[in-house]
Amino acid sequence: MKLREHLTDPADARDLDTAWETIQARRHRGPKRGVWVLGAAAVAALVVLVLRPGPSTPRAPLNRSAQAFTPEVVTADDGTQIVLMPGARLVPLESAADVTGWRLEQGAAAFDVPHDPDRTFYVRGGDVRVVVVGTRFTVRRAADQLFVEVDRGTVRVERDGDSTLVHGGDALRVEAKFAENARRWAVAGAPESGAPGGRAYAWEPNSDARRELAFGDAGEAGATAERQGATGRDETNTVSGSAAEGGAIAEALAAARGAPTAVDGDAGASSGRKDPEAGHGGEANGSDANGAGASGGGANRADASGGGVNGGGANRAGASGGGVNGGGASGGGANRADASGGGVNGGGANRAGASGGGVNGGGASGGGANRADASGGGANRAGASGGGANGGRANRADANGGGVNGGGTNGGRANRAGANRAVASGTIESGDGANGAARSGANSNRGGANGAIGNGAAANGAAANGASAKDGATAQRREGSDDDDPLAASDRARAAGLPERATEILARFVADAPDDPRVPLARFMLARVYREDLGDHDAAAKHLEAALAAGLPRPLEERALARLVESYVATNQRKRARAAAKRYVENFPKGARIEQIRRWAPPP
Amino acid sequence: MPTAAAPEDDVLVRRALEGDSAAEEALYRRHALPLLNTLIRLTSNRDDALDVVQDAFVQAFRRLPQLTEPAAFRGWLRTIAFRIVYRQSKRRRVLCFFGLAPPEVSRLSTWVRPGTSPEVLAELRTIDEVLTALPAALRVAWVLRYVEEESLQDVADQCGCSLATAKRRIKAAREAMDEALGVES
Repeated sequence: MKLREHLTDPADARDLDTAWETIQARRHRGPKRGVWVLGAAAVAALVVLVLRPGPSTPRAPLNRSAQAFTPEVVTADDGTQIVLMPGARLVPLESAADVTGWRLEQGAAAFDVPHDPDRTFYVRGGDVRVVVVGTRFTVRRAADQLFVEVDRGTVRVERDGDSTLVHGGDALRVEAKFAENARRWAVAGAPESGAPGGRAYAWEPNSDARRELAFGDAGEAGATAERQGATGRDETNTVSGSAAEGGAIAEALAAARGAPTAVDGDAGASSGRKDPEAGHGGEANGSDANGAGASGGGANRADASGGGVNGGGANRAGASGGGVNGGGASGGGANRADASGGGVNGGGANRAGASGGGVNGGGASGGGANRADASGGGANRAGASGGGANGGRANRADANGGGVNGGGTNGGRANRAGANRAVASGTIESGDGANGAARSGANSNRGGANGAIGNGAAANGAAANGASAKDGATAQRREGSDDDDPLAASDRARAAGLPERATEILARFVADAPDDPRVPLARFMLARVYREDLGDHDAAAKHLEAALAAGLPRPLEERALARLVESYVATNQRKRARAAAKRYVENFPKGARIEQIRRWAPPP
Repeated sequence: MPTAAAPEDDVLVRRALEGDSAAEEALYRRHALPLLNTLIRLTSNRDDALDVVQDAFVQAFRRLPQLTEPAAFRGWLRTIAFRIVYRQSKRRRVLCFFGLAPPEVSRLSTWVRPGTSPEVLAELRTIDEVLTALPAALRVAWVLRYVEEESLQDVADQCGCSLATAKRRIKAAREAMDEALGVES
């Protein structure tokens, strides 16, 4: 007998809508807290440190113990060098001729991606996607000369207001002055075809000291500082920063004792408008609002003794510092590199601490204020340190790296880079981010509006309105780990055979956040766990009543009422069962369970 | 099943991995109803079946990056779903033992087409009796093979077992069925 011929399909398509709503609700992570956590991780993932290549070819998730003290370098099939920071976990998503994808699940990882115009390389961090195209070049310093050799892509070398492009395969030798104190050169790489790419190298002449470089942070905390450097005057430092889609990869070396020369440039995705303005003896550079490609440019100020290369975001090179800002994938940000630091900024705001060069990959996740000090990067602040007019709020980020503002007040100029923002659940594509506005002295440079809009409710930076960007900051929410999502956490506990744990999670959530809109659903799920897993129909009925009182979506209300009848029947509470059945019949006369429920309902 | 114009599962899976919620919903709309029908036949409880569908999709979307063959989404989803069924069945039997839940009862004969002959209906009722008495693993394998008309390999894949195990389960269930129906093997 062909059974199928005699059977109908029992499912009611109407149930699918109900189930889909519930699935969506269960998958909903609630308010996103901490796009910057993921953002920072993703951004940091792009920071490149040239390390020795590793031997392995990863095909499985890559993990690096949190107890490890050093990064681990592995080389992927495609030649990408991946530096796994302690505590990092990377999961391969796809690998094909035209696309390679990884998911950064925790921690930080750095990628050195071979340039391949036919291939998309991306790294996911939560709902944020970072797309990278590689490029590479080297800068080497001699006693009074600078050599720039470009392997891939294009870089622009600038000095005293002049600039020249160096393309792949070419080399350039530039006369350079390297005086004591506050002299520096910086070179920023420009990407090809407006795509992400480029690097800048920084070096520290006249110093035998090892340079200190910092990785942009990843994960929950700030950046991890990584020391690497060269000794001797003619060594080439290998500091590199990379940025995300839409942003530039910049690498910079700021000499601690370089010439008082400011170099402005744009390492961003496209043109930056140069606004040479004297500012404390240096030059102020502002990228055009529409410069740097999709990213919003920013304001740049290099003060008297600093040199800065700004490819996008606001850059301030401190008195003796130089910074290279590679522009942000998403609006750039404020960059400040102070006395002894060379900042490499791939995007958002960067502040390199006194003893370190900050390498921030802010851009990937919509820019973001990053502060990298000697030991860390992360979210940051830029603004107030510049003095002068208030251009923007000090950028700040909390411990989770959730900084927003890329703006800041720099020197005598009111430079303001708007708030950078990325929403955790939004896919950050080129130019996404938040609003980045820059206002610099007489020149009002305004970064383009970058907005990555996901499900989050982050506020715009509102830089254009001159408003504080703090709105963006306050709106940032850290991407919840699963533990932040009680529904998901309870699901896992239940799946793990721990229904009591699931009820604890849900009950705590209900008690702690009684006004959360997910509370009714949490109660509905509590009832389910009690009913199905623990056989506690009393508790199930209690939570179903509460869920119904709090207000469930109508399809769920129908199921809740039906289950309420069942639970009352199971506990022999016939009067209540009849009352619940009556409610069901009255409210859902065509409900899917009407026939079963009607048996319990009193006659009309 | 996808129409000629509809994106294949692998395309939808890739889009979903990129955060395309519409692709997720498309996957859901494509596979949820057949899965729900199967689950209702297996569990004989609409609510339980819906819960399994929800759990299965929640898990599937959460674990989507682990899906090595995007084109195999359907089978993978059903594997997840039937694993949940096994777990629920085991739990229910414990609850039932303590009198905290009603026993699982197969009700295939509930969903017969109008005009089904009394003989067929009687046979279906016998099949229900046998299925009710079978362990979940055997019941699932048999239903997939003879009600859902899945291939042996698909039964094995969806049950998360080897082909040999799937055959053994189907055979054991069929022998019980044949005995009840008086069929000589």
